[in-house]
Amino acid sequence: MIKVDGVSYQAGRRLLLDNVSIEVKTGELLAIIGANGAGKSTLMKLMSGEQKAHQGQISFEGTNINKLSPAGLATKRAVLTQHNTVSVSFTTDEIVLMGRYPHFEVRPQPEDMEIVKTVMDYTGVRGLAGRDYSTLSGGEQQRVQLARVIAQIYDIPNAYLFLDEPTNGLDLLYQQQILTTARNLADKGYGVVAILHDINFASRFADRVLILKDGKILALGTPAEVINTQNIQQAFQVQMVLFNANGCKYPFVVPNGAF
Amino acid sequence: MSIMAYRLGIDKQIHYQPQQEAVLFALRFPRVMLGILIGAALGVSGAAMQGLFRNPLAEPGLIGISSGASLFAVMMIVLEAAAFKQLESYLGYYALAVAAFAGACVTAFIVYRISVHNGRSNITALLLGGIAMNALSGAFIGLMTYMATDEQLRNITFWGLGSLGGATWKSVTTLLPFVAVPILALPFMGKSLNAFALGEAQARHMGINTGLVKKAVIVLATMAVGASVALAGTIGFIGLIIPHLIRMGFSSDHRLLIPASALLGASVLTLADLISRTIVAPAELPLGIVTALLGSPVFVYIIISKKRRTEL
Repeated sequence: MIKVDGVSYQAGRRLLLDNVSIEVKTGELLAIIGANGAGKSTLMKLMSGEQKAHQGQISFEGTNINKLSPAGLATKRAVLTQHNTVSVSFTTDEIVLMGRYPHFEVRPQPEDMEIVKTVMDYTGVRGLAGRDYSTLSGGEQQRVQLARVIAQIYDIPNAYLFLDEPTNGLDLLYQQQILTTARNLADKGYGVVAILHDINFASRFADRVLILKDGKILALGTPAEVINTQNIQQAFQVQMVLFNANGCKYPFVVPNGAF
Repeated sequence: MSIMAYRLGIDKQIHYQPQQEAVLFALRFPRVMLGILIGAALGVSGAAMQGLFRNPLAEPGLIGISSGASLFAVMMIVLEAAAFKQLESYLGYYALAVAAFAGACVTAFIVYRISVHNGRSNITALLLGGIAMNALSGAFIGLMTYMATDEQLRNITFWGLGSLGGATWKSVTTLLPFVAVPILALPFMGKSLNAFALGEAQARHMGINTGLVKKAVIVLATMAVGASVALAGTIGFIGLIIPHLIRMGFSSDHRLLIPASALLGASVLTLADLISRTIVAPAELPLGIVTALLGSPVFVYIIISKKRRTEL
């Protein structure tokens, strides 16, 4: 369990996160939504250990995150960031193999190579093996990166996966593929935390949804509990209409055009 | 050839004159050795720097190492300051080399300090700091050149263009540890530098101690390049082009790229030195001119072929 306890973070004088507390369990998919600048990425950076909180504590299975070494942390969680440009040309399988770096010293072991293959099959990028990463389309690149971060924690049950807007700039098919993969990983026992922009995707795939507003928690609960017009209006300053679409047990949100 | 044959006991007869043997052992061998060491030093530092900065244009001179070394050397030539004189009386011929090495270390340190924010060094700030230090050193070198006498100008030109002409066994043994340590240590950074190619944050997520890697690469590269510039002046293009050639021909994997750059750097520099010695014999062309003449067309070719490859 990741425990975030009364965490605050400020950049200059601006308070980006204000006394946020939340627990993430293995086996669940937590979606974080909120307007731009609400503190979603900051919260994820603190939880993944990229930055240190100015106040409050974050712990992984009871161990304070600040006590974990970079290498130790790398075997407990993997992170998919938003922007993934690669500065020199690597092939896709070389990139995915980099996910295994925390697990071998000099040479990859046979099981590392095996995991690379399995994960590439799993994310549907096996056919891209041997291709130069920089020649792939945006959707393909994102799936290769997803394969890399899954490879990092593949053989570690109850590890955590952080996804920062994993579907950004992708078409519907790729969005659905990536979120289905995330859902399956949560069902397998990983803890998945994803920042999402699409509220409908969030309520379709997540077990719980966290709505942030101005660095504070506005709402936290199952999609049915927190996705309602008031919360959305407060979080995004946009009026929405809720539908109960045919055959869909989740509330379906559409903007009604007014502010 | 016949000297080797005799020395190795293959040929019992002496087919050469004693001074030929002296020339071979006292001048040619150390010169080739120096070329190998410096070429390897520039090659590995270039490969490591390009990896660290995630920038294919990075080269050892980028963070001000070479220009800082040149500035100190030029200041020493022109100002003939009392402190330098004293240094010269202790170290003799090596005074200039020591000053240049000190210059390399001082500038690299300043640039690194500029880049540190909240205890973490920022790559972009490091790069920009390097550009600023290069400009500053350039301005001071210009000032020194303006003040210099004709005799001093010739000396300055030597520093600007580089040469292996001063090679002796003593200079080879002095340089050896400064180059051997980085050449042996940098390949171990290969995995971390591969991860850096994905981005610094991504490397950290993969459990790489990025702060340590940055420091290690900068210290090792400063050691290798500072010592090289100290003994042979600034030799351009080797550190920039060699890693590109390896990447084009073989792989971008730094675990292979770094040692391969050492090998190719050593061979190319030795070859370039051979050309510089023979092309206008009995005079000698400064080595930096030869590497730039060979290097720039190759670089243009690399750019064009890369452009074509990514368009396809």
